[in-house]
Amino acid sequence: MKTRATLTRRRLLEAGLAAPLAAPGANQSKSTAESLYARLGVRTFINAYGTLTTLSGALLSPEVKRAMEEASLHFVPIHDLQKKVGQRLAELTGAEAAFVTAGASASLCLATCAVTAGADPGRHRTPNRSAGHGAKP
Amino acid sequence: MVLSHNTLGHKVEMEEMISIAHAAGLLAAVELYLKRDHAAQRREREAMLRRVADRLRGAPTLFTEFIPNLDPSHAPRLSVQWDEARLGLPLQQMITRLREGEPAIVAADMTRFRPPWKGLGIFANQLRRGEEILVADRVKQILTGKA
Repeated sequence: MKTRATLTRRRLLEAGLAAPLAAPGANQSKSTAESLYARLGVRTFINAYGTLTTLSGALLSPEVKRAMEEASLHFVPIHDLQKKVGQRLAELTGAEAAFVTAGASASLCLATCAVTAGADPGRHRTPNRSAGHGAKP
Repeated sequence: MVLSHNTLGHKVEMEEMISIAHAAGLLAAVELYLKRDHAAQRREREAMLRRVADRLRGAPTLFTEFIPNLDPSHAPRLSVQWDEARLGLPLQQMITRLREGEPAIVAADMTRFRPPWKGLGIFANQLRRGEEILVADRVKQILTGKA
């Protein structure tokens, strides 16, 4: 908690850490990213292997980074966003419907819930897994 | 502090939870994927691996094998093989030295693939332009004992 109390906005600005927030659209330079990992003591590497989750998956394309940066500048109701993004993804892919999840495991879990619960809104809640998994309701 | 997820009348389950940036980014990624010239991307990756094989030529006992890997969702691969006994350089040692060297390089152990293949796997799908030269030079340094 002590660390958190000393991490003020002023300190962030002084350290230049808030610079990317102050200048949206400016691409974070390679050296900034490198110094971020150097500060954390995490070594970067050349990936001659491929898209492995444990190797960071994939780097983001400039178009994707731009979209994420734009999205992060405004509040929106997340359910509206999910609905519209899902509709657009379904149009683009020709799928019946689409839904963005946090990853493949989450997709499998949600798809299983969806086919199990069907159109019954009363059953549209995933089971309470708080017991034994350390998750808080 | 426990924040209620019920503010808007809907509970956001753990499995549903993503950031708005994540949703926007995924949509942009799909749009980009659909617009992409996949044949050109495959040609570019193949050219990268050809450059690696060309640069490695002349290293002792070396043999390279190009694997087209034509499944549309996959990328071409280069298997780099050498006489491990003669050079006293087992595959695992090569992988470790690449990972711990400068620049650090992560490459694949193709004997662990299914079906198992041979040698060191160099895959181009996450290599940025120019990095293939660094990878080839480093592998050659280790093979020739100059690393």
